[in-house]
Amino acid sequence: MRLSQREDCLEALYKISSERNRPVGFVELSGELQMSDEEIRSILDELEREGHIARVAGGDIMLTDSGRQRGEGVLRKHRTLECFLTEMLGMNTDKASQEACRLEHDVSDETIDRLSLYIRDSCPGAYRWGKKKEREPSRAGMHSLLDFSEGDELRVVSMRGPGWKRRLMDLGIIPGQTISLKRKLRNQSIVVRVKQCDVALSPEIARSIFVEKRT
Amino acid sequence: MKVALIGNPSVGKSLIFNQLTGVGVEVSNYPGTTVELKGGSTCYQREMIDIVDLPGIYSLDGTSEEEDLVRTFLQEGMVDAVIVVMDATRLERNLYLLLQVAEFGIPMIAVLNMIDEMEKEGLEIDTATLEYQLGIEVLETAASKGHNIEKIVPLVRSGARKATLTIPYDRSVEAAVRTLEKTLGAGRTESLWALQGIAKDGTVSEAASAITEQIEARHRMTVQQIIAANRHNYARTIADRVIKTRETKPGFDLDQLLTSSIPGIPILVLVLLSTLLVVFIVGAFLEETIVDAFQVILIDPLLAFGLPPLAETIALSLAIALQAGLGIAFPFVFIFYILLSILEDTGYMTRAAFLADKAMHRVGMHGGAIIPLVLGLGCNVPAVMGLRNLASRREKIIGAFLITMVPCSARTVIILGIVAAFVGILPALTIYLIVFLLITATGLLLSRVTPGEQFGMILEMAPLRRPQSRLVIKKSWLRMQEFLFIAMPMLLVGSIVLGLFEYIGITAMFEELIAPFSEGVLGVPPYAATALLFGILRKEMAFEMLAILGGTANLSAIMTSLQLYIFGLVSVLFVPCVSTIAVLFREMGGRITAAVTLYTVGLGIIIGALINQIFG
Ligand SMILES: Nc1nc2c(ncn2[C@@H]2O[C@H](COP(=O)(O)OP(=O)(O)OP(=O)(O)O)[C@@H](O)[C@H]2O)c(=O)[nH]1
Ligand SMILES: [Mg+2]
Repeated sequence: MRLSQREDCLEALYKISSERNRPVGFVELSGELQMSDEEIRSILDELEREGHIARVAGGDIMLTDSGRQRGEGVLRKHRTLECFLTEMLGMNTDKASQEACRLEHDVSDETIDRLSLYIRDSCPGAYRWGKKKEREPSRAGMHSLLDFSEGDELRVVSMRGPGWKRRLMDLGIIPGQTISLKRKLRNQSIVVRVKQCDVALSPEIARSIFVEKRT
Repeated sequence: MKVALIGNPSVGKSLIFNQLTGVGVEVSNYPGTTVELKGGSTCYQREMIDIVDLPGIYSLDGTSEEEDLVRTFLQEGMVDAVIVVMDATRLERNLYLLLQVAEFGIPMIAVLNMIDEMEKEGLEIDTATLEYQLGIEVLETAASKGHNIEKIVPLVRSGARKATLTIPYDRSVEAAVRTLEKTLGAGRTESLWALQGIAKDGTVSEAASAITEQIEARHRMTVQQIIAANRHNYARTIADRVIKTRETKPGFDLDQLLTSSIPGIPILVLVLLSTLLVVFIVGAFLEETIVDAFQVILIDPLLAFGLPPLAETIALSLAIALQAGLGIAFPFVFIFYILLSILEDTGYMTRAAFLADKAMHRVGMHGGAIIPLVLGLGCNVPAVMGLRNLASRREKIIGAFLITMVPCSARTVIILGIVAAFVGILPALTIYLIVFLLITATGLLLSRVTPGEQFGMILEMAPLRRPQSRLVIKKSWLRMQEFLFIAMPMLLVGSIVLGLFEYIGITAMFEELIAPFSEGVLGVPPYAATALLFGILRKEMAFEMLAILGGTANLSAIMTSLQLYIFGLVSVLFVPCVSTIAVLFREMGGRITAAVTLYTVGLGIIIGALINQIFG
């Protein structure tokens, strides 16, 4: 059985069991993995022989210490890689997740350590609360819709803010979407054009949408 | 068979509904016209087809009141098929909703409306490919021209089927759905709701919330966002495949003028003022003509006839009621409704909302609240219902207070019919000014004391259109019917009762009782106070009853200018009418209704007394 499949299996087991604090059922596990049930069974047998997992009553699966360590390591690699691919390289999440799934099995621990350090260092201002006159927090290096002027062609990077997010999403204002700033009044009310529709936004909403200029 | 019309706001659902069923529901060019379910039916090949018009929504997974209403409606499984109405000029965004409806697994057809506008914009949609992509029948229509509307019912009767598409979701979402399906036996749609935190089933939501957390930690995005993004991507893929040509013809951009501060704001003020002036000038002309005609052909002959006293009192009350109702109220109300309908159909309301956004923030709401406020100029009842489009309780409470203070068309009748006609047009405008200032002050005050959160405006701009005279007249007529068939009979019955009371002497007794208050505080004759009370039934009745009680439609003969002014002002401010109270009660509950009522009564009396003190 291939190494990567075994690692995927350990990763999934670790993920599920660490969040529920109990042995994992077979069905739960197979829901997480994209393999056939037979494949999973044979991998589990192998892992049990190697002492990474143990079966408890009723056939549920428990990770042993060594299994837990391996699983945790793989999951950490996955998350770090995915974070790097999406946040730093701007890859879309779906692609990034697939890519991370492939890379996680070959990458060394050292690379991952250095990578996660690099991620932390390169956006030092992230999530720090600014002291701008609009009491709103602003992310360093990020520009909200209000930082641009009429006629600019933009791409949504991220959004912040609770209640209204849903409506924005349904109107198509989601990360990755291209929009154009059609009108901006002096009082900061704006109109954006998204998916052939004009949408008027209050300043506090425009301020919570972060965008970059389309080149 | 029962079918429902579903779609984004302002795509023409209600217009189609009207044409299919013959029922008249409101059709307007701004999002959020329909806020309730409306049912109707039509006969096709001897079979009764029930049709339901739903409020427009952007998503079936949203949490707004209308989205909740429509979702629950579909979940209850009461319809055999749905008709998804789409705006052909905004196909991609409309497909996003269609995809969600498709996931419900209800038989459906799609109606591609606004084909006329699509052609004007130089767009072309390959319907055959669209049908193939969605796996359902697609019909092109132009509801405003009645094009292909007759084909909708036959098509839904014979061709409605479940869509064959499956939306490809992100791996982690698919995995989560599989887990929920396997462990709890939840369906696909239900699992998706659970992941987005809107499922009804407790165990499924609980299980889902653990998974959700994990997905969000990994993706640094909420599950809602991931799912929405997947759907938007799929909608775009389909749209790209079916939209054939897109030649943009740059033309004169009227929007540029309307939505810039200059000249947008001067235009806004001009629009409002000229509306009032036109109503006054044309209304006054019609009023004079009709009132004179009644005098000559009805009242003078009646008086000359010499009936027995009881009969004469009653006949005269009836005649004056007719004269006041048809002669005074009708012209003002009708002309006002025509202008309002034109304003609504052009799509200007959303521009006004945009321009007023900042100012509306000061009074605790956002630009979107302009729409119910302007609607309130027509009638407060639909305006209060329009409050559903505001997101938070706080905004709704403030909105409820402000809307009931907006002078509706019935109050316009009073202002124009009494004050402008007998005192002067400038004093009439000062009443508008006073009301406007009071509304602003109330808003400023309420925005400080009302608890709760406030959301900003996210408002889709309606496209600018030339209103069609047929639709404008139809809508104004629809709104007038309420006046003709409810208010007029009420007025006639009221006037007969009053005539009787007067004959027996009850009126005199009551007036003696109320005289100290009316004369002492407001400085108006006691019968004016009686008339004010009738204003609670319907606003314009205050005016008509004044004419009946005073015995003449020529009010300047019985009251001084100041008295008329105070009467006008107090009846404009004082208590919303019973219909408004009823709808407030339904939408906002007893406490708010009581507060609004008491507040307006107090305000009316205090302002009236003040004016009487200062000028009397
Ligand atoms: N040009 C054109 N205008 C249309 C067509 N169908 C509807 N309209 C106009 O579009 C506007 C919106 O129509 P409604 O029927 O109120 O839309 P709705 O879908 O019921 O909207 P909500 O109730 O807000 O959800 C109105 O001004 C209609 O006159 C069409 O086929 N062509
Ligand atoms: Mg409607």
